[in-house]
Amino acid sequence: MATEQADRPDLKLAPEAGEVLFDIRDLEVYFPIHQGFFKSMVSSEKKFVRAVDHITFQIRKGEILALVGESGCGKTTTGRTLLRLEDATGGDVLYKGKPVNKFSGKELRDYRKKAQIIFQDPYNSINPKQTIFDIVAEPLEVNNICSSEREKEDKVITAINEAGLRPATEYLYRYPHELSGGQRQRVCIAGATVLDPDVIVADEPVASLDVSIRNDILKLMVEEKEKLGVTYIFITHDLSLAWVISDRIAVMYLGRIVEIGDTEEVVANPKHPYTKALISVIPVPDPLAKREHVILKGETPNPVDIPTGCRFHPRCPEATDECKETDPEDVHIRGSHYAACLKIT
Amino acid sequence: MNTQRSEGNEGGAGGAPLRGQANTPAATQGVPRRFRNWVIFWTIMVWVVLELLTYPKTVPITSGFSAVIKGFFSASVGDYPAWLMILIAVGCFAGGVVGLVRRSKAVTFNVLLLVEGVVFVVWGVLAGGGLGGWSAGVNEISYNWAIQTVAVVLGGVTVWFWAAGNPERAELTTWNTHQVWKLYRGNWQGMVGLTILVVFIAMALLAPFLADHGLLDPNAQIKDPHTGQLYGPYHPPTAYYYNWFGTDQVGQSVLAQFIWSARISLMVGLLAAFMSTVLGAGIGIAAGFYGGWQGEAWMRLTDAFLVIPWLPLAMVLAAAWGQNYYMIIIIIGITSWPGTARVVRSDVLRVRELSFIERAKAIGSKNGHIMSKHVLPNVMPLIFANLVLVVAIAILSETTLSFLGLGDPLNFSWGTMLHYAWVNGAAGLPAWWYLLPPGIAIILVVLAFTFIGTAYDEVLDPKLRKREESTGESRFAARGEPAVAVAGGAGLGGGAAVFTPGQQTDDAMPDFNKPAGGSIGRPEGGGWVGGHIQDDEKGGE
Amino acid sequence: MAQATKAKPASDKKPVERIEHEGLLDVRGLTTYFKLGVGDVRAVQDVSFTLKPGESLGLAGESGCGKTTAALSLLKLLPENGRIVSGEILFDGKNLAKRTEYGMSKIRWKEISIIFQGAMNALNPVKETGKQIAEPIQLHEGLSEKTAMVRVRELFDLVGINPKRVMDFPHQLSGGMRQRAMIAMALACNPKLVIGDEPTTALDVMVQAQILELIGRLRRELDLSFILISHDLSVMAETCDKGVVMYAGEVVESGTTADIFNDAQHPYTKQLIRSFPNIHEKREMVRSIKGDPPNLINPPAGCFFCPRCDERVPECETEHFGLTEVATGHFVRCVHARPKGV
Repeated sequence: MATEQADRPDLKLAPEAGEVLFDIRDLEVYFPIHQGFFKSMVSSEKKFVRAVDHITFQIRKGEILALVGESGCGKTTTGRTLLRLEDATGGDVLYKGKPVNKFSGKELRDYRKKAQIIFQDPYNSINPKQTIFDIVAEPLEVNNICSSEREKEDKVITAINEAGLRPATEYLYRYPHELSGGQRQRVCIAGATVLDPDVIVADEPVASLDVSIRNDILKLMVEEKEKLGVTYIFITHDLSLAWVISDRIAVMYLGRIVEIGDTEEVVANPKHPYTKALISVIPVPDPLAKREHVILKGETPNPVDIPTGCRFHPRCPEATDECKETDPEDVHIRGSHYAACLKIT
Repeated sequence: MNTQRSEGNEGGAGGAPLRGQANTPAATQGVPRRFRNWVIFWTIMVWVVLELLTYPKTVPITSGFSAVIKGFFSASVGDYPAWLMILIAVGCFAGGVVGLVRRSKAVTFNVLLLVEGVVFVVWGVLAGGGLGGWSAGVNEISYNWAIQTVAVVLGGVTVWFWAAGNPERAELTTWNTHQVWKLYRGNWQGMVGLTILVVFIAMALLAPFLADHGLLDPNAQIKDPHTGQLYGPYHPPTAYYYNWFGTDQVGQSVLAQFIWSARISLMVGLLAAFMSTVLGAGIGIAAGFYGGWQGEAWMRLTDAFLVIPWLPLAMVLAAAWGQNYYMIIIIIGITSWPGTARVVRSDVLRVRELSFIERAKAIGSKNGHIMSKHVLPNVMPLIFANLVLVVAIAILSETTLSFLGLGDPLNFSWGTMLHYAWVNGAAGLPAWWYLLPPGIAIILVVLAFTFIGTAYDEVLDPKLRKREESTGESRFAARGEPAVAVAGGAGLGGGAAVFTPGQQTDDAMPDFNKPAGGSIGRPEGGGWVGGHIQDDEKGGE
Repeated sequence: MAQATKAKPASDKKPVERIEHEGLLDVRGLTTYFKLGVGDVRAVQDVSFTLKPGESLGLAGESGCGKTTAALSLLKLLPENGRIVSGEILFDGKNLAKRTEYGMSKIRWKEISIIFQGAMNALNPVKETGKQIAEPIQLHEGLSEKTAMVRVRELFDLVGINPKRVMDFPHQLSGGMRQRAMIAMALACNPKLVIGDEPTTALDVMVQAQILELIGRLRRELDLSFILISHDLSVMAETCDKGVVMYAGEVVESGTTADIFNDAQHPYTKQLIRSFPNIHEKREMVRSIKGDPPNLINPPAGCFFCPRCDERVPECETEHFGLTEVATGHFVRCVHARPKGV
């Protein structure tokens, strides 16, 4: 492990880390903007939405990594690119050493079985015309995994039970609209775990659910991680939720990771001004809590026009002239905690 | 049924599977009662309808009751086109073979499908006149009736065994239909439309009993029963049954023509609409689902067909391809699909954006699979509502073509009746009895379909889902079981095991302030989209 | 930041008969039912709270608890099958519960306005934002569009949007800006009370902080009362003076936010607070509340929360309790409620 770290200075993991599942290097996902016919003839400059702008990080097997940030920061695009639901325009995504963005055909199909996704909206992410059985069985059918109907049934029933809908047979022939939001999300989770994946990207899995049932879904994710060894990439805008269940947090802003590290460390000891501001404005259920709210001015800029130098400098309360010109590199703080700011000593 | 339930409660992997006994006699007790009645009812209905369609035109109603019954039970071979029988046989074989190859547990069901296929092959061969060296013998031997009966009953048994293997799905099917019917029933327009339609369909099916087919022959002029004299051309209506609608230009019974026309008009309308919808929906789904140049290509094709003036094209085709009613069906089918295609495409554009399509891609589905299993079922309600209206259009189209003289000269339809009336100057006389009945019949039938279409639109609304939640009815309540499902095992909390109806409403306000369910950001039930602001650019998130 | 403009027109209020009341708003025993085929849904049952000018009140609870219905009852914006069965809504001396539609039309937007849930999506996408905000001004005060637009520019300035953007279409504004525009619309006719139904639920954390700060500033500058409806107790804790926790249509606990959070007595309130993470305290898993809310058509006898309660005793299943005042202004509906000092 020590030699690895010497070879790879960008390895953002603590020395005692487990096996590296994903090695993401310099990932770039740009979306071109359609200029319109005449404009594209006149100006040769092409504009892009720089959704993900050169990020490098690793994901360890069996951990829950949270990608946190506001809208427009690129967290969802990153998650989707890892699953090849979007195509990277540059950089590498290495899954167990193999380049995901170059997979095609059979390799891609095999990879799809290993990497699954759970969407935000349980009301729209399952087909309302299918029964629960069909929904959970579909990944098996599409990938021709089971050699007989009986095997398929067994797998489906197992997955539904593990997702907490017990007894599974009560739910097999229901339709989604007969279930509550929490139950539907469990169906989505069952649909993702039925293939025994290595990694699941959860895109805001509890944002649409009642507060009082969020815990169950979160607990389920932690259980799956512990029992089945599934790695989770937990995408959320809610840093307090990420704080509750994730092992590591990566804070993103305008397509870059501005801070990454162990959850407790990042929350207790934030180094990047953006992280500090975010943590200060998160409301807590305590009216007497006294702390200063660092409320940033303005809104996140358009990812088409990214500011020069440090992309956060227009809104940063600690910005100086240096920040307008230089794009900060990652600064190692301690252990696996890194932040990208020029002001860190 | 109760035994099946409690077995399921063992829960977990490896518990007694839900459908373990598809092959034992006890399995037949697994068929839900409502579904059982359904199968019996529809088997008999299908048999009756088929018999009515094939009732021999040579056995008149006047030859006495016993002759009628005898006629009902015998028909000459060759009333159904052989290709249709072979097609159905191929379908059955395919289904059975696929089922067996996949080692499904429902062995009996698939074997029955194969047997059914064999029966249809035999029927097709006989209908086609027999294979070289062997034929059905003389036509007096009534194979048709026997084979038809065997095929229909076997079909019923096959469905029964399917239900025995899938009692839950069988229950679902009947329940869904029941729910739709309940909603539909409440709509007066729909009921009026349905009544009119039922009357006309009954008239069409019972035509052999209502009017002697012989009266349609060119020389069959009707005679006054009291005086024995011919009525002659353009005789106004009298009390005599066959003269209720008077006589036409050669003295034949307008009533008889009217009754038998119903068959052609309705059948051409239905089949042409069906063909048009299949074509239109297929192209619409392809156009909507594939973006980029493929979708554009389909749309330009659709536009091209839309732009071509329908009537001149139909006239040219009729003149080129001949004038029989099969051709009319094909002509209407291939010229009227663009409307459906456009409508379906716009709905597919909506469905395409829903998350579950993306999920289907994420689990590795191919495009064809997504289109058939995900997109199609979600646009099916729209397609069906559209189909109903297309039938109305198709009937009118057929009438138009026939009125212009392009209809089938060998058969009567309401359009051809109007054609003959017009051409022979009935309007000037005025022989209103010749013009009004077909005209009014067309109006009524088209109106009926329009009403049904409108009513079905209301039924389609996601209100369907809301109603059952707010009235607290669940399938299981309808079965006589308690609405609250039994909470078995040590499920996790948070609503994992208990399903209480009537809970899915936000703030107890059942759907009145909400847009139709399914729109992102306004879910139908508890919970809401939180914390995620709209992002207008792609890739911004 | 924008200069505060307290742009109230010259006073035009006719003196009204005033009934003896507490402060600006005094809701007593509000009960609202919805009529369904199978029975009446008891959406709001005997809800009472008061509000002084300049105060803010939080209505908290899960979905289905009746908070939105209670707020809509204040403005009588219920759907056709909803009706206020009993209770009084005393606003500035008038009982709104008994007012006619015509009478209510004078109150809506002029004295009480509301920012609906998801309001920022309720803007017409084909009409300029400024013109949409000018509409209520034109309707209520009979001004021409040009004059109304002047006021709209003032309002934009007040809520922190560049006044030059009045003619932008909704899609040209970000989510946060649209919500500010909706706040501007709510303030258009200078109301005394603004109701915000989940005003920040769909917004990012930073934008939420900005909007909440804006609302706080407006309250202070315009002496505005605010009712905040939210499922998010943390937001309520940080922004409201008073709070009302609702469950299954009833008030289970009410009082100042300090009372509710530091001295929560009802088991539901305690459990609800525990289901929100507190990033500044020790890291632990958030709790969930097991079970489902009760059926509001046939509510159970006894306490509504009893099946899900972890402190229940046998009486809870049969007796339905009233509100006990455990401290001044702090009410709890529970068998365990004990006034301080007893």
